[in-house]
Amino acid sequence: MPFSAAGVLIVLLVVGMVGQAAWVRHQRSLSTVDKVSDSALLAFMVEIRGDIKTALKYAVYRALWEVSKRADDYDDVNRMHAIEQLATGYFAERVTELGSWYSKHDSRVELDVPGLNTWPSVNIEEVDGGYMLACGGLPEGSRLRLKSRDNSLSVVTPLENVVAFIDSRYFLLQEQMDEFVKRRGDIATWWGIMEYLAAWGEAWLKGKVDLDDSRSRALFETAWGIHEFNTFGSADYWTIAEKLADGTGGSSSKLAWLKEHTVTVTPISAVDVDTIREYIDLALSSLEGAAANLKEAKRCIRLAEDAKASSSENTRRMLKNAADHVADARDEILATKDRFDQLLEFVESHSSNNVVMDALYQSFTSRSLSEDYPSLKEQIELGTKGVSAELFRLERSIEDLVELSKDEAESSFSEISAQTISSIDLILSRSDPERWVTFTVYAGDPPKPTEESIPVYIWDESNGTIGTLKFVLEKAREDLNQMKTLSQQYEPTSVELEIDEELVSRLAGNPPEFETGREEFYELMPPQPIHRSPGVSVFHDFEVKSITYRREDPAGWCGSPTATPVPLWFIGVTLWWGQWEITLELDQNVVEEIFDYDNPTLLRPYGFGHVHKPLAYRWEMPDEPFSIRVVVISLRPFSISG
Amino acid sequence: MGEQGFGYITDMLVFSVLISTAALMLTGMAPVDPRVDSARYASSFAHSVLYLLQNTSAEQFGGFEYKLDTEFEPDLPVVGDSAKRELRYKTITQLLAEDALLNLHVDIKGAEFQVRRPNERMDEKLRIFLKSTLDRIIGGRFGYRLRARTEVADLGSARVHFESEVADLTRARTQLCTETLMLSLPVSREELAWHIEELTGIDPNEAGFEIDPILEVTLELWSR
Repeated sequence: MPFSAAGVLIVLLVVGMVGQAAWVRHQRSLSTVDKVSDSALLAFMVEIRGDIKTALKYAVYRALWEVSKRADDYDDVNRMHAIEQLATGYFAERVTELGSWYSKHDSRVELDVPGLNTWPSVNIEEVDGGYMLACGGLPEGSRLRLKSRDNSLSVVTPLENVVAFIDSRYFLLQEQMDEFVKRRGDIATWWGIMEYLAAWGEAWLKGKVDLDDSRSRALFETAWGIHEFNTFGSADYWTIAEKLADGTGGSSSKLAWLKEHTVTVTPISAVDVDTIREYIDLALSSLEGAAANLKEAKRCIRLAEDAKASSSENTRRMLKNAADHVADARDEILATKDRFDQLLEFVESHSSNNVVMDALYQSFTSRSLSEDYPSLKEQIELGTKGVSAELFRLERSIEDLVELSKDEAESSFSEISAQTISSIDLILSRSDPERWVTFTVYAGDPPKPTEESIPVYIWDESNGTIGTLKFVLEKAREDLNQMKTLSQQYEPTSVELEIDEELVSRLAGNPPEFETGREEFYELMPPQPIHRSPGVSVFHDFEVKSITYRREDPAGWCGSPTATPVPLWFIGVTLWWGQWEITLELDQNVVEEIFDYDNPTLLRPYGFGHVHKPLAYRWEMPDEPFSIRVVVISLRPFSISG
Repeated sequence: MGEQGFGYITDMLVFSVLISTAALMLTGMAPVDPRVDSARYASSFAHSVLYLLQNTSAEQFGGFEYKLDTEFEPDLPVVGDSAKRELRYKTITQLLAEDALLNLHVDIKGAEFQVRRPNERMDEKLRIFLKSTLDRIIGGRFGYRLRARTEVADLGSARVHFESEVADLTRARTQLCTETLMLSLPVSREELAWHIEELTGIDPNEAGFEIDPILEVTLELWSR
């Protein structure tokens, strides 16, 4: 059986080979398990480091919340130190705790960390977008020791720094709040503009300004909101809407009032006043032309007189020249009247949609100061008419002289030429006022109402001279200058009064009712910001303690309810000047708080558990009073009550 | 055919049988066990997945958000997206640990006690998010089951714990590996004790129970 024997040998050989292979495979499997176990140990180490990094994150979250909730206790540098200090403490506590947790949970893990006192400070730095990077160190000698399950392998690694990204925009909130606090004077500016608007509208349209406490509160609240909106891209619109709704009218009607006045307020425009002045300058230049022609006519008459003895031809030529100059002077006077009429047309053309121009037109064309005081239009019309008539008579006189020059009657010629020259001098001169009108003005310190008499230069055609007309127009120009100066000094332009449409629509909305504390509610459910960027919700809390009004114009000092009249005689305008100071005091604990709406990432206790809340940055403002001065200048009389 | 011939045939037959046996034995012999290799690969892969979950922000997997449930407090007015919680920069394991804290389960006498809480929706949304994230990372290579659980705090009349699971074990055949990650809950032991007391009315410290604030995240990979 040789084959069977060979077969047995082969089988034995194969059994040996299979046995060997199984042994090798077993050994390799054991080695693989060891390798997997080793790599698991290393992975475990990395995972624990990751957990320590997360511990740093939660420590910084907690420190951030606690410090940012009383941000006004620190300046920027100290606040950062406080956050770093607190975060260091919380991180130390937590890592120490982690050591015992790990050991209890898994005996393979040992976290050795020296005592709490030796912890290096957590460092915080700003990264893009106002976020934060925290770097936390562990004390020297901190080690992580891991053992494999069968204790065959032990790994010890020193623990050093960990870096964590903090997904809260602390730096953004800090920067925005700094800006808000630094520029809180803007609140008074906006408030002042709105108070001015309200008073201006009432003064011009109703003739009575009500210094209304509730309106001032509403306007102040709105001004606060505008400043918030300009700084944060959002405002505490629910609170403002609620405050606007308090009292009469409701928030929407108050806002409609604001919008309406934004449109209608058109203070005295410097450009318009300059245009009016240009027409007056043109009229004055025509008057200058008339005066120059008359002076030339006078010189020609004198030359004619001198030439009378030698050449009658020369005399007639000179007299003809004189007559031509007088005719030219008459044309210039008519041009003066035309220039003034153009001025009136300009003012009238702008008066249909501009109350200031309308009032100016009324003042220029009617006896607005007093029934006894002719308007500028009347004075110019009477004056130019009188001067024209005089010049016409002068032309006739010169024609008479031409006739006389043909005769030998020397004495008659001299007499008439002297009268003509005298008439020219009279036309060029400025007549003294013979009529006076009495007004009440406020003068002295302290101011008292006193009677003052004002001269009337032209009240009929006989008072019209070129000198008087020139004087009246020059004084009118001075009055316009004064009006422009006052207007520029006190009145804002309408551009400053625009309020963002989105803000207005939010303020017109219905605020929700809060059963819980409003601040706690905002922490949990911050209102959606008006602008998507930078994504910050706003809360404020303050109560107005008192509002006081103090009149500062002279009539007000004297206790008069009317504004102080400032008559500008020559343009027939009375500027009614009302000025008062409003001081608003707030109760203590004025709070401004902003929330990182886009990052509701902080775990905070709430109810019977925890919730995710956005970082809050809370600032208690100093209780300084807000004070503004309102000046209203109207061309229509108005009273101030309150 | 004589006896010699018969013996010869028998010898050949025995030889054939022995050779066949040897061949069969050789066929089954392989120097490497393929199951061990798969397990080794799966284990390494599982560690990589856990590492990824611990170090990658939710934003990189499409972002995570949920809405606070405000029905638990009906007086709260909700306007716009105020209740939205977008946690795009948190890592996935941070989300898991926070979910565990915010949605601890309370069992009283063996039945789950329904606690109304504002973060209820986070639990559900996170499971959906985790499922889609793991589907993307693991793809069709393995079946998987990810479990997150805390130790049960047995306070006598009440038991507090957290357990969450996402899995895709479709066509799964054999479990290849189980890898575990330890995470600490994101609050201190005192805060956790307070939290449990708020939920159950029992102070764990007074009850003599020592809380284990570690969340174990276990990832199983299965062959397909």
